[in-house]
Formats: sequence, structure tokens, C-alpha cells
Amino acid sequence: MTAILSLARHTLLDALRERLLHTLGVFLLILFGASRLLEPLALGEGRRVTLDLGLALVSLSGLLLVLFLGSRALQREIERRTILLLLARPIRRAEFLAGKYLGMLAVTGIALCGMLALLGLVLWASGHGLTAGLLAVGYFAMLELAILCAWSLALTGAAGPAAAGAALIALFVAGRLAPSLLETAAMLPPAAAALAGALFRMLPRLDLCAAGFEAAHGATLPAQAFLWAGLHALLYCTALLLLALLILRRREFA
Amino acid sequence: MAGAAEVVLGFERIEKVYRAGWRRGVHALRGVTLTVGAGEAVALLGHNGAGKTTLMKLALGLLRPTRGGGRLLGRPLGDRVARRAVGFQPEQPYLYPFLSARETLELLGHLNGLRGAPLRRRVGEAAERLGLEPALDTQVRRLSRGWLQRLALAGALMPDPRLLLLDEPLSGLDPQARLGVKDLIRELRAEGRTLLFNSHVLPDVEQVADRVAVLRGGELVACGSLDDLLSRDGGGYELELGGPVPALVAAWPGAERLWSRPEAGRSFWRFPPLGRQEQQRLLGGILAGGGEIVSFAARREGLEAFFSRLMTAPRREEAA
Repeated sequence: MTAILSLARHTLLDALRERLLHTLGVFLLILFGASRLLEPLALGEGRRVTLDLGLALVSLSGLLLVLFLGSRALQREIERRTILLLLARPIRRAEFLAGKYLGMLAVTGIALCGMLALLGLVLWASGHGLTAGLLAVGYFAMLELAILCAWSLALTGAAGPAAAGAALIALFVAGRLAPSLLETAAMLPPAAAALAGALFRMLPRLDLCAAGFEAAHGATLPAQAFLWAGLHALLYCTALLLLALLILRRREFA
Repeated sequence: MAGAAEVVLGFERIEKVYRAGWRRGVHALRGVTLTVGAGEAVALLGHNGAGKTTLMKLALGLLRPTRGGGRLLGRPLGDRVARRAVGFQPEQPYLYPFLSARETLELLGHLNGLRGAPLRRRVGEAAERLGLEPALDTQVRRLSRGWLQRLALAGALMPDPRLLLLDEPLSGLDPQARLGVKDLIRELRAEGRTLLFNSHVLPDVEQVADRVAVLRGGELVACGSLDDLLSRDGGGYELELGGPVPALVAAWPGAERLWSRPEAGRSFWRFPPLGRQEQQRLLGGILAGGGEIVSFAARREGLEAFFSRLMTAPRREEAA
């Protein structure tokens, strides 16, 4: 456990000291500023515009952060050969992976809290008031980020940073559109429908995590929505981390 | 391996082929058998790409052998439990630029299961041994190459290792630091630790290694103690005589007088390689003939000359 926590702390330190979160903060400040500029054009829908823009930015920034973290967590370790230093120690590759994953979750968690606090601040400063729905947004967004982090580790273990990044973006989009893709698949000829259906069922159901958007706009979500999304993320992440471990265990470090 | 010492690290007919996609593989190691006994300092020599680093990575489980195998501290190569007692210093000081030297050592200690007071004590000891104290709180990105090399070595000492695998521990160091590292290697040996290290600095190797193993194109072409290797092939013997030169010496086949000082009654001779019986006949003959043996010793070739000769010799398949 010491090794896992130490690697998680190390991943967190890397992100903090390499000013990853600082850059993200500046990026967000600029974009939230833009949302304030847009508000006068929103014809009385200022709150909705600010909230939608803010939530979209939170989602996009989360994805960008995972892309950065994923490339650093594994790919850069391999490129810079710092991984030799770690894997030569008496740790299991599973511990290495778990440490990196926990570290990524910690970084994304901190970033998410920061972004939501910033969004809340902008809403409050604009006189739109705070919404408890932001807590639900935080929960669902964290689930989405946990899935993306797991995908990122599996992808960067198997492919180069560019290919892994492109695949992650594709998965993010496809995951959000998963129900539509399943419906589309059902309209195909039977053989193709079965194939496409099987393929699409492997996609992460990021649409479940999008429920946070409704909560932010005041919708009351049933407890099952929280439960199913949580359970899906847990099982999906476990399966992905096992896949990532399989890839990492087969890998050699010349 | 000297005597019947416990084998700390052993490779048995190990082969490693690097494959990239469908291309034909590159043979990094070809049937290497090598053992390192407890308390020995063994140097791996060879040109770049000879397979030295590959051998270390196989020991640590960072690579898997294509064929063959071996044992690390009584367990299979790369075994996690065995790695607890192994310190490793990679060829380049691959360290995290955003950590301080202290944090780097703490991270490596954590990964060895250390924490709290034992961890702090070990960091202090490793830093003291390498003279790292002034740089402990400096970020790695601000350290010079020499400091980085020292930090990497200190990292290798963090597990309080029985076996140290040091990949080029003497490269990138100024003369003063090199002396320090050589002293450290001697100290570590004196403490009973086992060392396997690579180096291209042959005079330094000659000073600190008990045995050398020479790799060429992935093959082990020579292995043994420095005494054995450097006096074995064509080394011959050197004899310093006092008094008159017995006829036996002058007439010995292949004997060559290198210098003589008749006024001091001294002469210096070089002999070709001699068997035990020939040595006895020569020395006995000198004494019987009234000669005085001032010194008689196997003529040692320098390690650089030996290495150069091995590297330029035709390879087995070329010779065939």
C-alpha cells in the first residue's frame, strides 16, 4: 500500500509542480470571462448560458486534463525511462498501475473541485445564485473522469501518445452518444446490427454521467441514476484497469 | 567465480532477441552463462550494444529472456521478493526533474517499503556516503550531471542492497568524484555486498573489479579474474636476475633480455608463457648455476590491451 500511495502522491506532485493545474486555471479564467461577455447577448437567459458554457468547459477541460495526465503517467515515464527506476524496485506492475491511477484521480478530482468552485463563484458573482445541482454535476463528472483515466492508462500502455489521445477523444464522443449509436445499430441489416451492437456495448456509457447537466438545471434525479452510473463506472474502470495491467505485464523495457 | 561462494546472480545460457514488428530480430545476447558470487565485484565490459545493459535488465525483470534463464538471490530472474535486496543504477540518471534530491530518495525508499524514521535514516546515510547533503533540497532539474550521477548511485543504495547493479557508475564524473565512486565500490565490497557493474573506463575497472566478463556482439568472449585473464594469453613471465647470467637463461627458447646493468650485476629478461614444470626447471637451474633471482612474476597485460585484443580478434563465425 505504501508503494501505491507513494506513486499516487508522485503523480499528483508531477501535475502540481509542472504547473498543469495552473495552466488549466488560466485557461478557465479566460473562458469564464468570455461567458460573462456573452451574457448580455443571452436575452434573459444569462443563468442558462453561463451554466451551460461552464459545464461544457468543465467537461472539455476534464478531457484535456486526462489527455495530458495519461500521456505523462505512462508514456512519458517510458520515453524518459524513469519507469526503469520504478519497476526495478520491488513493486508489482499492478501496484504501479494502481498508484498512477489513484494519482490521476487525485489530480482530476482537485481540478474538478476547482472548476466547479469557479463556476459557482461566477454564478454567484453574476447574481444567479448557487445551485445544489453543482454537487451532482461534481459526482457525475468525477465518474466520467474516472472512466476516461482508466481508458487513458489502457490506451497509453498499448499505443503512442498521439494515437492514444485520438482514441480517447473518439471514445469520449462515442461514449456520450452511446444510446444513439445503439439505436442506429439496430437499424442496420441483422449481421451488421449484431456486430455494431456488440461493439457499441463495449463503449463507456458516458451519457449516464451527463445526468449531472439536468441536475444543474434544477431537475431532481432519482437515486437509481446515481447508483447505476456509479456501478457502471466501477465495473467499467475495473475491467479497463485489468486490461491495462495485462498490457503492462506483457511489456518489456529495453 | 571465486571459490564456492554463494551464487548471488546467475545466468544460464541466456539469450535475448529484440523484435520490432515483423522485422528480423536483433540478437542482444547469445547463450551467455555467467555467475556472480557473494561479495564479488564483477565488471561487464564490451562495446556499446554488446549486451551489458540487457543482462542487467534481465536480472531485474525489465526484460524477459528469449531462451535460457537464471537466478537472482536464489529466486527466478526479476523476482519481486529478490528485488528487495537489489540496488540498481541505470545507465543515464533517469530521474524526475520536478522532485528534489531528497524527494527522489524518499520515493525510492517508499517503493522499497520504507517509511518514517527508518526511511529518513536511510536517506541520510545514502546522502552522506555520496556527499549529497548540500544538494539534498535542490530540484533535480537544477543539478549538474555529476550530482545526478551521485544521486542515482545514492538511489541504488536505498534498499540497503546485497547486490548492486550499476550501469556505468563512473561515467559523467569529474576525476575527484570518480575517485570517490571507486572508493565507494571498494567500501561496498568490503561490507560484503556483491557488485555487477558496466564501465568503459578500463583503468578504473582494473582497480576495483575482482573479475571481468567481456561481451562481444552478445557473446561472452572472456570471463575470469584479472590475474587469470591478463596473464593468460601470451603474457609470459618477467625475471630480474642478480649476479652472473646462467647459460640456461641465455639459451632458453624465446627468452629475451630487455636490459642489463653489468656494473650492478643486474639483468632483466622476458620469457614466453611457461608451464609449472618449465618454471621449476628454469628457476631451479638459475639457483643451481649460482644466479640470484631478484624477482620472477607473470607478465600482466594491461586491461586496455587485453580488451582491445579481444575486440579485434576475428569472431568465432568469422574465423570459421
